[in-house]
This record gives sequence, structure tokens and C-alpha cells, in this order.
Amino acid sequence: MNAGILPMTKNENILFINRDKILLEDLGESLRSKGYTVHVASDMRGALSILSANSVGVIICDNKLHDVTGYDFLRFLKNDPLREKIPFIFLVPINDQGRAINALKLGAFDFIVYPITIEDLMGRINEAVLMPRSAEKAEEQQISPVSPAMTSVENSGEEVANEKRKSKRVHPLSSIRVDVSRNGVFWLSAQIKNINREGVFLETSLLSKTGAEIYVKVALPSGTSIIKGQVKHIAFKNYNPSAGIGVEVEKNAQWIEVLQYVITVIKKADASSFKGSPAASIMPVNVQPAPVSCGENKNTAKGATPTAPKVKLNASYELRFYQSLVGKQLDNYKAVSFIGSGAMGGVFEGWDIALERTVALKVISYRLAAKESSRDMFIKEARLVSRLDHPNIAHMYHIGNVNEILYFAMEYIDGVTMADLIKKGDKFNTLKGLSYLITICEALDFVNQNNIIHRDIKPANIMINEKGIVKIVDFGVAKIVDVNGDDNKKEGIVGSPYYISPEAIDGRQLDVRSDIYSLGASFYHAFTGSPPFDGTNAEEVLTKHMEQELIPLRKRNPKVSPALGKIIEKMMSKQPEKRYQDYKGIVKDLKGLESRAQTFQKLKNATLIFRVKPKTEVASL
Amino acid sequence: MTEKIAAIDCGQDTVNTLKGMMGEEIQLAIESFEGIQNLQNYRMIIIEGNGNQRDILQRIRKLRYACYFRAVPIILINRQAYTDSVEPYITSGASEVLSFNEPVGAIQQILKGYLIPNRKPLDEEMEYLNSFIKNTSNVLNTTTSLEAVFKEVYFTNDFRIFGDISGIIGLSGEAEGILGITFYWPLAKTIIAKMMGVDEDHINADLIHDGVAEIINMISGSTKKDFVGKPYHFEISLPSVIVGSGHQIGHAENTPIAVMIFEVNYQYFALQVCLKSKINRKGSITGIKK
Repeated sequence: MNAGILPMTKNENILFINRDKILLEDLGESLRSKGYTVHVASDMRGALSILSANSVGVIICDNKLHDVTGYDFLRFLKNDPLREKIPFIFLVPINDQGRAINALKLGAFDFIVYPITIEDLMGRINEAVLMPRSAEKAEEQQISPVSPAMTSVENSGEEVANEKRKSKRVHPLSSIRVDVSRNGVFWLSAQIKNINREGVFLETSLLSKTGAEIYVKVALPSGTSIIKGQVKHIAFKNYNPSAGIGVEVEKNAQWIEVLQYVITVIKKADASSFKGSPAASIMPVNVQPAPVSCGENKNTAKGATPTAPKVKLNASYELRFYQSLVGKQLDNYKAVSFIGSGAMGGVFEGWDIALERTVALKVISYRLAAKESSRDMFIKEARLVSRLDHPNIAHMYHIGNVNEILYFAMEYIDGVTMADLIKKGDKFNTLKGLSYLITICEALDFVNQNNIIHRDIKPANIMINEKGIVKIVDFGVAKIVDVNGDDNKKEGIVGSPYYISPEAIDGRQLDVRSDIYSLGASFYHAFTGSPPFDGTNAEEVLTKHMEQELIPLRKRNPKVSPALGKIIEKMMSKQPEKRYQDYKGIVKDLKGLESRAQTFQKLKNATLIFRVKPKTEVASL
Repeated sequence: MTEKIAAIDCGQDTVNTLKGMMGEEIQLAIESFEGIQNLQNYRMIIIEGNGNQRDILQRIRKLRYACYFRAVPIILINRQAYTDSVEPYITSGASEVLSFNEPVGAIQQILKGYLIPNRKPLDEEMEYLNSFIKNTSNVLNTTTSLEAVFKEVYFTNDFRIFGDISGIIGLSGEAEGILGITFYWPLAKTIIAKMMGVDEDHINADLIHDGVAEIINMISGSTKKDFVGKPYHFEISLPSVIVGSGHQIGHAENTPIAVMIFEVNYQYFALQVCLKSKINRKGSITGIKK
């Protein structure tokens, strides 16, 4: 290597940009012969393409390029947060030296006047790479990636909020929650900077306009108050991430309440600062980007505080993991939106791009993904369900593994769960409830014939689709029953406290009768609106399942027929031997009841017709 | 396929731990923040939280800016647990904040989740997105004579805006949602100056407000006309103009957000659309909650 060669690392190259092809080739070749790695371009597009593929140590650029001026390119680079630090040497003709100073103002490291000698160029390059990066200084001066060259902007000659005034200034009152909105739909947080009888001066990220209407929402101890006002002036300087807005408000009772409250807080703060104890509520103004709440005055009721969208940071790892998958594609399945999560994994609404249909995607929980046994269990669930080809059981389509993320795609049920209906307060009427119960019993009978027990029958796992068809979902803890009865494997308690059978709590071997108990408990809840046993904690509920006598269903809902109450209660007998021993028995009893109920319904309808008829006859007379 | 990840300012211990966790499927390129010049080829950026918070926040902001609205996850990782709030990191542009004190399984799965590419739109989603794309280019061209070239679209799960200035408008009616446009200042100033017929040095708060509000108003207004008689027809509200980065916009649950990136003279801006039709594909009003 020649003496005087720049001490660049091998990753750092020279980018030489010039319209003059001959100069480009000649100087490029000369630099290469001195040991430099040189990339050449004649326009900005070509230069950007080189920059995106290479790490460049120095840029040497003509004042005019084929597509833009050298100044434009320099300005562009200085606005790029990662490339602003690349030393930029500007080439200018002898008659344009005066303008070259502009290049230095824009952030160029140096300029060279044509004609150029290779020695001069090498000297400047060496200087450029040896000099400490100027960008570091700039970083210390400003947080925003915006170029310091930006000019200040100020509206209507008003002083900005941060400027010192001779008049008494209110301390920033960060303890008072204030939001502002132009339209009552999007609310942005704001901080009170000054307040008087006429209005309020706020600092906010909402940029408004002089004369525009604005709403100010203040959280008071008595509730939330919304004040209408008009923007009188705006202070927005240096393209800061917040603006100051002076709002003249409508003077009404609400405003007086707000004013009095703010003054009280100020007085308290002043008193505490006088005593020498720093008031926690007084903090330097720092309008942080805050969640922008959105909603048509949903939060405006007295006593309600503005709700912010959930910040995912507070969510568990589990939810953060699921959130990382929304908007992603797992093999042929697009995760469109997140629906919810359970013990085994998260469920997404997905789209099958090959078969063009909506699917439900179930992704294994991160907690379980690390354990081989849990991954096996997840796969087992998929296999179990794939064996169950029944119109009332959600169908399994596919199981896959992307980046070690195990998932399966299954039938998407566009509907509600029985738990949703219960929550809404929709108690089932006898006929509809009977019909659902019969269908589920038949589906679970089919499951049982495949030697499978569900082990987590509950209202949340019973879905009713748009057409009113009932589907059983979530076979996450389902188990194949050992027909020889040799299954002695000990497992923890599996099931949901409100619906679990006594033998499951007791850790005894389970069979179909355990699911029958859970199904009875689920329908007890659906018919009465209350779970069969309730308590302050899971343990209390479990104990009641074991020991407490069930309150007869009709005591809780007298509208339910006594026969149906008896069936549910039999399903929920404490001892499995006293329950129905299979679903066939239940279906038989339920169908008998259903046919009686239908007959009764027919009679009821006939009665109505009979009642209507004489009136018509009277009318026709 | 190996995924290329930029490990910025990561110590050797951190790199080794990450390699151990992620295995062969990733290629970690060790970079210093001062040395890195472009993020073009990286699927993910992992930055170690060394130094004071102010420096870290600034670096995250610059990295987010340099992603130019592309879906590049920025993961802040630390060997120690964070004792203070992680929210400033997220509002600065980090996608996730992790520490090696957290369960290994969680870190692994979260990183793997972020490594999966963002999905592209479905055909039915493209039906309405195309209209927004066409109208955005038209509005920019009509008002500024600038050519806005649509570059890419992807879906994301939260409506967070990273940029210097944004226009947001609420959509309601047969379809409901939010439309937002976000610029960094250099491009915003060029556009506003051209729209308003003033020099960039003479732009003031009123002009910024009016310019950005007008752009979002015109895009939503012209798209609204395209949707007359279609399930995506909506009414528009008064636009809001927001300055600063990291604002999270509340949006309808379970509604994905499409982020469309446009290029104007080598600079980029983003249009975010969160729109859900109340009318389902079969033509009936959806009455059942999913």
C-alpha cells in the first residue's frame, strides 16, 4: 500500500458521484491504483443503490448530478439518521465557490474546487476519515432526528410556551389529566401551562389552527368535564413534537368548576413547595407521546375517566408473543386478528390463502412450546380432533410448525360461545336449550365412541354459529380413554372450576361420566344464569362440587320444567354411578321431554289461533 | 432460510446468548450504531440497552426513522431486568423490550414471532386498499405535482404512528375505522410548500395544519366516493393533525391495520388504514360478535 493511504477499514469505501463520466473513470481509477475501494455513480438513484448495499466511508459528490443537484442529495443524506454521519466532500466549479458555503451549512465536511488533483483529493479524504464524526455532536444537541438546519416556525408572533414571561406562570400540572380534541373523536393528552378566567394555555401534540373549535376534557374528582373553546393562538417552534395552544373557553358552570379545581391544585402545590417538600405532582413539562383515545364521547360521562388503549407492555409475555404474530403468515395461513387465549395457546382469525377461506389458527403458548411433552400434547389435540368428523365438532384442517412456532388451522366458527350468551343474560328457553343439549349429547356420544373424553366441557367451549348450529371446540386437554382401564397415569386437576366433576377434582380415573357432569353443570349455568357452585376462590368452588348439595335447578329458575331440572340434576350427581352412564340415556329422556314440549307449544299456538279467530269473525259480521 | 439480524451495540456475551437461543436459523451481523448506514437487508434489529436512557432512546428513534415505515422489528434487549418503565422505548420506536432475566422460552418465542414476515393483503382487502393507493397518488399529484409511488403494504396489529407529523381522520358508516397519513419533516415541508405555494422557510403552524389536514381529507373524501354502494362505504369526520412520534391510536379490536408505504423523490411516507365493514361478504349485516 502506498504511503499516505487513508486508514479506512475494509468495510469503508469511497462513493464518488459525478456527471462527467471521463472524470469519474479517471479519478476512480487513480484512487483505486492508490489502494482505495471506489464506487462510482452519476446520479442520486445510483448513489442510493450503492449506499444500500455498501458501507461507505466518504462521499465525494459533484454540485450537479443527472437527476438532482448535489445540494439536494446532501440535504437528503443529512436527513437520513444513519447516513448523516458519512463525511461528504463537495466538488464545486471555480466560479461557484461562493455557494459552496451553503454546502458546509447543510453539513458537508469539506469542499474542493475544480480542477482536482489526486493528491489534494487523497489529502481531503484522509482528513475526513480521521476527523471525529460531527454527527456525534449533533446527537448531543438534539433528540429529534430532524436536521438542526431546520428553520424556526412561529405563528402570529405569540411567544412559545417555554419562553420566560414576566407574568406569574403556573407550574406544569401533570397531576391533572387533560385531553384535547378537534372533533370529539380523537383525544390527545395535553398539559396545562397557564390558566385564567378567559381560558387555558396547553402544551399538546395536537396541532390546531387559529380560530378552530377545540374540546378540552379535564378529569376532575367529581367526574370528567368537557369544555368547548376556540384556539386563539398557537406556539409551534422548531418543529418540536408538541405545540402550545391558547384556548379561549365558553364560560359556563363546567368551566368555573374546572378553573376552581385547577386553582386549588396550584395552591396546594405552591404550599407544599413553600414547605420545601417537592410536590410529586409538579414535574417538568414533557409531553410524551401518549395513547390517542378514540371514541365518540364514550368517556364523557361523569365519573368516567378517559380510557386509553391497552399498552401492550403491561400485557403478559403470552399476549406479547401472540401480538408479535398478528399480521404474520404461517405457511398458507394469514393471522388476520387475535381472538383470545387459553391454557394451551392463542387463537387467531386466519385466512387460508390456498383454499381461500377463513380459519381459526391456534398457536401453542410460549410456555408450553419449550416443553417437548406439551408440544406432543398440542399435536395430540390436533390428531384427536382430526379423527372426529362430526357436524357438531369443529373440523381440523392442518397442523404446522413455522420458526418452531407450532400451530394448527381448524374450522372457523363465526358465532358466539354459550358463555357469551350467559354473560349477556340470555337464559335459554326450554325448547331451544333442549335442542342444544340434545345436539351436544349426540356429538359427545360420538366423541365417546372414539374413546375420547373432552375433560373441559364448559360454556366457553360450546359455540353457536350464525346458522344456530352448535359446535364443540377446544380439545386441548382431551384424552384417549384406556379401554382396559389401565390408565394410572397421575395428572394434575384438569378442567374449569365451575364445571369440573368431583372425580376429576379427586384425581380419580375419568370416563365419559365426568364429561356428563361438566355438561350438566354448563347447562345448569345456562338455564339459571348462575354456575351450580360459586365461591370467592377456585378452592371454595371445588370443595362445593365435592361436598355441597346442588340447589335444585327449578329453585333458581322456576320457568324450567321439573323434568328437565331432574335430568340436569341427575347429570350432576356427585357419584358417577348415580349419573347417566352414557349419553344415549340422556338423549332418550331429553327427546321425550322435547316432544312433550313441542306438543305443548303446538297447543299453545293453536290456542292463540283459536283466540284470534272469533275476533276476526266478529269483525266480519 | 436464515434470517439476517443486525445486532447493534451488542456485547459478545449477548451475541452468544442470542445465537444459543435462536440457533442456526438466524445470522447475527454485529454492528455498532455509529457504523451502521442502512437497514435494508435486515429482518430484525436487536439493540442492547447499554448507556444512559437518553442515548438509547435517541438511537431507537434514529433506527426507527431509518426503517422508513417498513415492518422491521426493533428489539431492545438488556442483560439486566428493566426497573423503570419500558414505555419510552416503545414510543421511541422499539417493537419489544426484553431482558435476559425473563424466561428464555418467552424471549425465544417472541423473537421468533417477530421474525415471521408480515402478511400481505388478501384479495378482498386489496379491493379497498387499491382505492386508497390510487387516491393517495392522485391527491399528491394534483395538489403538489409530485409523484407518489406506492411501494409496499403490510399488516400490523397496532396503530402507532412513527414520524414527525400525521393527519388522522375517523371513518364511520357502513364501514368504520381510522385513516392516518404520516410524514417526516423534510418531505412534509416539501409537500406543504408546494400545496400552499410558499417557500419552505415560510411554513408556519397554520399552513402545516391546513396542508396535512387537507391531504388526509382529500384522500378519504375521494376514496369515500369510490365506495358508494359498496360494503366499505364510510363517512368522514373532522381531521386531526398530530405532531411528534410514537402516538398510539385507539382502534377497533380485532381489526388489522394496513400500512402502505409511498415514495416521493427518494423519501417515504406512510398511509395507515384500519377499516372494517359492518357488512359481511355474503351481504348481510354482521350481527353476531366474533
